[in-house]
Amino acid sequence: MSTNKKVLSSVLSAAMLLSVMAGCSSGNSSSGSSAPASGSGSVSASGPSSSGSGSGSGLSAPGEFPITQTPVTLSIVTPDATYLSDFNENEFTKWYEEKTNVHVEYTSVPAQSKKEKINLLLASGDYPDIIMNCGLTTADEVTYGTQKVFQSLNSLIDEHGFYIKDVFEQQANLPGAITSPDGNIYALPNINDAFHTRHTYRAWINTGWLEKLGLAVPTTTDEFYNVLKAFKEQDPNGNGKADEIPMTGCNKNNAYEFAPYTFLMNSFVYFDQQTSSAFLELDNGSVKFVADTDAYKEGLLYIKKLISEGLLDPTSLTQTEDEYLQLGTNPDAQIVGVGSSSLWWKFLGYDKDTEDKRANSYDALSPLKGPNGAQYAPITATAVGTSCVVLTNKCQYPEVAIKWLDGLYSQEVTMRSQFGIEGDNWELAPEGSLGIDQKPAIWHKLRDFDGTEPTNARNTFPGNRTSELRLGEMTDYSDPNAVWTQEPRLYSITNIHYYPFETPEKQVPQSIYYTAEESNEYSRLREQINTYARESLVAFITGNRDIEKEWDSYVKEFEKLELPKYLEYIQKAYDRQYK
Amino acid sequence: MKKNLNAIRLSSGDRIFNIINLTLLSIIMVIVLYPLIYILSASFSNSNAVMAGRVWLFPVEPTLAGYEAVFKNPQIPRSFVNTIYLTVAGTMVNIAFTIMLAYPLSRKTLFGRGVITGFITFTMLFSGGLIPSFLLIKGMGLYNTYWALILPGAVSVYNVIVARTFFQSNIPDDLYEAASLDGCSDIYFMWKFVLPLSAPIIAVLTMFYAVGHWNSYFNAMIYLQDSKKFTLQVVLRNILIANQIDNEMMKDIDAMQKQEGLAQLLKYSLIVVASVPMLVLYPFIQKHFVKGIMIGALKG
Amino acid sequence: MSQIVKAQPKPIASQSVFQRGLKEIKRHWQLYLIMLPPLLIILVFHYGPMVGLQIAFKEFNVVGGIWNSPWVGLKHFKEFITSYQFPRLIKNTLGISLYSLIAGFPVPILLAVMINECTNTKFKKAVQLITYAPHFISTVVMVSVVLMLMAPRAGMINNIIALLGGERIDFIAKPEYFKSIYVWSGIWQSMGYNSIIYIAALSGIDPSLYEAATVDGASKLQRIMNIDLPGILPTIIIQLIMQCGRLMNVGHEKVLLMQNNLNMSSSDIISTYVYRIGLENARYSFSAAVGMFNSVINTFLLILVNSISRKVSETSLW
Repeated sequence: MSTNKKVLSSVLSAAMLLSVMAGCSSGNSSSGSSAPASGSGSVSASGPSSSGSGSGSGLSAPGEFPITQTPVTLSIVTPDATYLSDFNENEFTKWYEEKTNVHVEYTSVPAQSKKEKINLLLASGDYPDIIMNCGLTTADEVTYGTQKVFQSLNSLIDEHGFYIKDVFEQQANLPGAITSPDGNIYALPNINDAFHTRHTYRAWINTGWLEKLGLAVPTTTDEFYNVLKAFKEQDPNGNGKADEIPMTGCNKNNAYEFAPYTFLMNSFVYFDQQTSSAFLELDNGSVKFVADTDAYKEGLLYIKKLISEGLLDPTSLTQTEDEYLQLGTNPDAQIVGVGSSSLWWKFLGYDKDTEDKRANSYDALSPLKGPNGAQYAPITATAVGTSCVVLTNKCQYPEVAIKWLDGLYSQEVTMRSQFGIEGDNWELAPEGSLGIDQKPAIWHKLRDFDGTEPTNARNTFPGNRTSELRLGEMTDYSDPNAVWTQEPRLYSITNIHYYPFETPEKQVPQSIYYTAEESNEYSRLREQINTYARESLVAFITGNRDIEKEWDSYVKEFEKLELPKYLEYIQKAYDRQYK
Repeated sequence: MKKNLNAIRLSSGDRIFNIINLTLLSIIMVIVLYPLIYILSASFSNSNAVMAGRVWLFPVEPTLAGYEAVFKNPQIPRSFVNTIYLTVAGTMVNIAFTIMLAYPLSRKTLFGRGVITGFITFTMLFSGGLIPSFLLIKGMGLYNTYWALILPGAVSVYNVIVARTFFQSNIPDDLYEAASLDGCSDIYFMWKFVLPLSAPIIAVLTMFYAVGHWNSYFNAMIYLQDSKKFTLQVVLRNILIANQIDNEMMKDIDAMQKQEGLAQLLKYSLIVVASVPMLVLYPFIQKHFVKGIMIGALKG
Repeated sequence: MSQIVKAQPKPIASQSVFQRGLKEIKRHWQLYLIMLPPLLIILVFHYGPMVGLQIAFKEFNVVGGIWNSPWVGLKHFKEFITSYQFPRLIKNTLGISLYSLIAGFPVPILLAVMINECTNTKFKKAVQLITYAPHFISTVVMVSVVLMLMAPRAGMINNIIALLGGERIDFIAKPEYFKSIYVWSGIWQSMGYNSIIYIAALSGIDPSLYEAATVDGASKLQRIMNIDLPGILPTIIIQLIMQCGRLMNVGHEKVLLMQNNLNMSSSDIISTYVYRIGLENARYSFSAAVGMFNSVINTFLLILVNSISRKVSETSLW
């Protein structure tokens, strides 16, 4: 490095250190505990090495390894889900330590209660340099970031980032999607673009029955109604008993892909059920509520008709996953016509060698076209997982830390942490081989590892698993068993049946930041509005409440629930972040 | 004479009563027993059978997979020992402190009795919450030690009240009067008279506190950092989580099925493993609930 | 004459409470001494954290901590009490508690009495052990067993109903059944464990009382009514009082697992609401306020029941 650069980086580092220390002293001083800032208790908040404050010296250029000449120790806390993976003994972490020349001390919090534990540690002032994957939310980022407990990463990324900058370029909505209202980036994301999880509101239709009855795959809601009727009345499983269940699903908390009404409603309105965007859609950048519209009402009437005529199983609203599985794997004869779930094995089971080749006789069903032309596949997962890693104000070497984190996003390190060891778990794909997406393959999986092997760092360490990388897994489509491996079949059904129907411009983003003042009000309103909407939905379609008679009072109720204010909050935050 | 007394005892009314009693209790036993048998059987069955609802009473396609997964975990033996140590030590502290508070309060003439009772009862109604407790523990340097699991819960006010009620009902007032006339001090009275008579209540307290320690999970999770110190429940739950399906993983169906199956089985085998010691303990405690044990001791 | 009067010692009644107290304490100093360690524990570990109660009146943030977070007065209480679901939360929480109390309180007592009347020791011990075992079943498994039994298609209860010619009912889908399912499954799980205290109390009754009653010609039923129950009445009353002091505390774990959109009107309770609210941003102050709200009501109930019990019987908490 030239002398000028050296001076500049020293000054910058010193300035950063000073601002960090200033932040440190104003916060956490009176949380009631006597624990000093570092080196307290049993959380190994390791102290700085003896090389004084000289953090400007010995740093490599952005993207280069090793990171620093002078030995530095960082402390990181992660969730401890797998009992064998003490990251201090992990092969991946050892490999990375050698590569970066940065020693890391890992402590863990129990995965089951990671959120509570982390909040307690933060409250007691006893936390390490980096918090990784401990269930922090965007609200936490705002809370702790504005209090300077989490460091702002903008300038660090500008100055020392390399692979992270790549990530920002690859993902269209970054860095906006991870920026807090005050303009600071407080957390790095985890990039995991699993193509097939983009649309999980799926349904699977018994194509064996369609064939038997000479029916075409339904594409509209009217056709679907007729198909269900045929399933019910014409004994497609041929056993002389009217035991066919035309359509069913199950009820699982916060897993609305199991509810048949989710799939069906998307033929009337843009029906999203994810926590932050339930019942909402974007209309030319304007946040709109769908559950009080006429089109929604049409959907309710349609679904109610299906239920009342015995075409949609009302038990699906309350039955458990196990009961659903029992229906789908019914031993004597197939009895499910259409099942809603994101993954077929949830109700068809894992057994691919059943006598009647059961999983073979179902195929994914594209969203149906409703009377108004609606035909949606909401986007239920994106590449960017927010709030994954934060840098706390305890970190005295933020530049080293940011470079350490930056390295995780390089392809080499990502493949090492997420896929395993080259030569053991995977190898580079041979010339001419094709990946899941039928484009030239990037890598070839040799051997998977389970969560207890000490090489695994997947799902704890962030990485940059782009769609290309994931779909670049070598797959031999000519092998009949290949279709049974999760990725290839899911890829193809997503590609054929759902991807064509996605409308990103209608999707309200999951990552919207609210300020501390807005956050509580927003969640309170969201809770009461969504609870009422869901309860009413279910009451309407089962006939417990009469749609026609009570529609007006139902719509009016949303005013009492302060719907306009709720939408205002969201719109304001959305505009601030994305416009 | 004896024959006549016997004849009086088993009147027809009583005989009917006994039969009804026996029948009712048997029905209750069966109702309670069935789900227990189900859990036991499910823990030994093939997971597919469990999920498909084929397990009704007896294990279907018996397997030890659920138990293997538990016992092959290297942390199990150590956590088992930890928990035993914690339960024994904790319970002893509990019983001592509880009696030390309950007996004096049972004395109707104790000065300040009402105030003290009010003082401790208040804590049953209001609690400071997780964060202040956590900060307190940390501030006292008890974090990551077993003291954090023993001291805060050393006195359960509920149990103190229960014990106090027992003493009030079963230690006659005149006993102390008589003893003090003979020059017996309070402590000596407690030692010589009260404790020997307290077998049933000590048995009850042992049961309550031991089970409490054995089952405790949340506090251990919050206050223990070293995995070497983990208690049984913490380790068991970690095993369950470690085996839960992660849809992210790019596995093939066979491997996923195996893993999910294991998670299903574990749900049941964990309960069995965790509760067996406490079930074994109970019969020992039961001995002290024999009818009239109090009076026998009193007269003696 | 007046001199003699003056020489008499002061009558006890006019001695101050303080002086009397000191005398008592000196006389029974050993008792007070041994009460000290447990009282200290309570002071430090139960009263100590109570300073945290103030966050119910503040907007707690981690950096300000307990002491320096800003005061907001009754804001959280207002938010809670004026919330849209408040009426139903209270109704359901109290509904479940009272139902639990009325249905569940007598069961362990009856069970204890029945067990006590057993003549066959082996059977007696078996019953105790078996009824005590369900206490150890985790909530998750417990709920899944209950749901399995209630399942409309393949569940045992519905199978029996169908066998008897009735129509299958989806119990978990109907609000009117929720509380019953919750309460009775709870009774099933805890009746054995809860009966322990009564069994222990029964063992303290003087057997000569039974003999005397039998000689007088009393039937077993009469003996139960006149000896057993009165004998354990103090225990019963104390248990009742303490349970009333917990009426607002219905935990969220089990209810959450059994809740669904169809039975929400009956199953949404205070703790599940607080749980849902706090999912995204841990709302410590809000949950502290709700907790305090519950505590105040519990205290009121406790005092009420205790006073009634003091008037009506000789047993009371204080």
